[in-house]
Amino acid sequence: MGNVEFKNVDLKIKKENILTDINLKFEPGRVYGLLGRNGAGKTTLLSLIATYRKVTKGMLTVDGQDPYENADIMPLVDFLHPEDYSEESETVEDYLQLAKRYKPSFDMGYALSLLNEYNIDMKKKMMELSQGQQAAVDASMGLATMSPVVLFDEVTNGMDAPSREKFYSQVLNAKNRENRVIVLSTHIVSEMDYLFDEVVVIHHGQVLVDEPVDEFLDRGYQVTGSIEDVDEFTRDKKVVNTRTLGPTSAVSILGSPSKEDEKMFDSGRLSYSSMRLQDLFINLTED
Amino acid sequence: MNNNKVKNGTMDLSVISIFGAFWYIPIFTVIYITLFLIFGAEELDNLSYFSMGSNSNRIFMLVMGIIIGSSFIKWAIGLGMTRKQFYKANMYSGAVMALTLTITMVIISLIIGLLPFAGTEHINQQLEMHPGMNLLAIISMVYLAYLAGTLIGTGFYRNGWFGALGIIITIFCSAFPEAMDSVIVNAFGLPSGAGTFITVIALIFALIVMNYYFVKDIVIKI
Repeated sequence: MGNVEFKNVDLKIKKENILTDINLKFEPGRVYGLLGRNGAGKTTLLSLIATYRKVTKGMLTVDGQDPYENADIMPLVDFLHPEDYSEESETVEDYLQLAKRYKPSFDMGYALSLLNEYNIDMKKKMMELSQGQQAAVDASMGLATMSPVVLFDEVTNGMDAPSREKFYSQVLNAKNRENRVIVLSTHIVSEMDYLFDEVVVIHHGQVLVDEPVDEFLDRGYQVTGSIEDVDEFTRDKKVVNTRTLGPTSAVSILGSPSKEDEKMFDSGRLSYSSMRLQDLFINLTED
Repeated sequence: MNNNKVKNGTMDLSVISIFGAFWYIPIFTVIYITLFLIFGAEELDNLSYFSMGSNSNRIFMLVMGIIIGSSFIKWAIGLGMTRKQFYKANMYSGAVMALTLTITMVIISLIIGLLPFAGTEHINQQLEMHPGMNLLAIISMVYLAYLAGTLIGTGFYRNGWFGALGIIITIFCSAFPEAMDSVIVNAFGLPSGAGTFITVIALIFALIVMNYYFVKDIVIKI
């Protein structure tokens, strides 16, 4: 239950192609990282699943059915994105009660336990909360509705680092306790990469990457060592990122290491590690 | 579950309007009493509380319609309602509010009418039908104002052209029933006000249909 599938989906807005030939499948029990530069089409893609707008061409299904204006399917999807609560006079408690009334699967106890981690005063009005606290309420609501498809779009915006860490651990717990599709669209790639089972990269309205995160990271590797050794090692390689600290250099390289390269690692002069998701993402989406 | 959503939506949208009415009715009552205390009943054509109120009810409902039509569609979709469910809930809640507001005004009017300085004449509506029909006509006019308001609100949420169309339709709806009254009354020999009532009912049906087409396929903005 809760499969989301795009088949050759196009979206045009005022004759402009926003999404082109999207083919994707989100399966329950997995966390998807949806990455892309600003304006790549991430939010628009998620808004299609949430039926905020209609696809122009192709087929989008949730649980095998077209979700658009489908009273049985729409409640299965939760789309959380940064909201303006500056005029929202309802308290956090009212907000939860509202969700409970409209979403029968909403788990109030779970919501309270999630919100408790952020120390949010339930009696406070939404507009009285800080932006980070409002984001925490949204994040908790998204998990507590227990909907089979949860779409988080930049939901950690405004949260401080400890709150973001709490949210990440809540997502991992949610993934382990329920079998549902969780999509995390984010710009904070470096913080969230360990949450993802699969990575989807959208670039200029097209799917550039759709693969398990391990496979994606196998597209490159990272080497650390002295600046001289690293320079010599990377002479004939495609380096996508270089960081130096004193006499030490760390580089991200596209491709796989050869047998000879591996000998270098065995010698101990250079150390080998997996590619950083952020480096790959930046490299792939550079125009 | 789906019917519950319409029911819940109707209830919640009605509560929002009732919350607005809790501000509107006392303010209107204070204004009415103040005007009559300052100018006296004769200066104000001895206008009754209900008679003055039924006009301002239409303005209030027009405003509520604009607010709900423009601000609550995203809220509804976020709660898992379809556009059609929101539309139904909105239409029902408007009807509930038109009825509730008018009856509330009747009740308050009975109390205000006891004050020695208050007006007693129901002269601003050319309604000479059976009192029950007159009341029904007034409720219908209030509902029509709400439907026109939601048309403007939803229209502007869609885009400026639909919003402008909503305003034009609203202006038409405010003038057309009275203009048609004498035509229908003379043609069918009905009591005065029957033409207005019939036209208002016809416009209500037209606006219910138009509201559906305004909401149908509306893009939710983020």
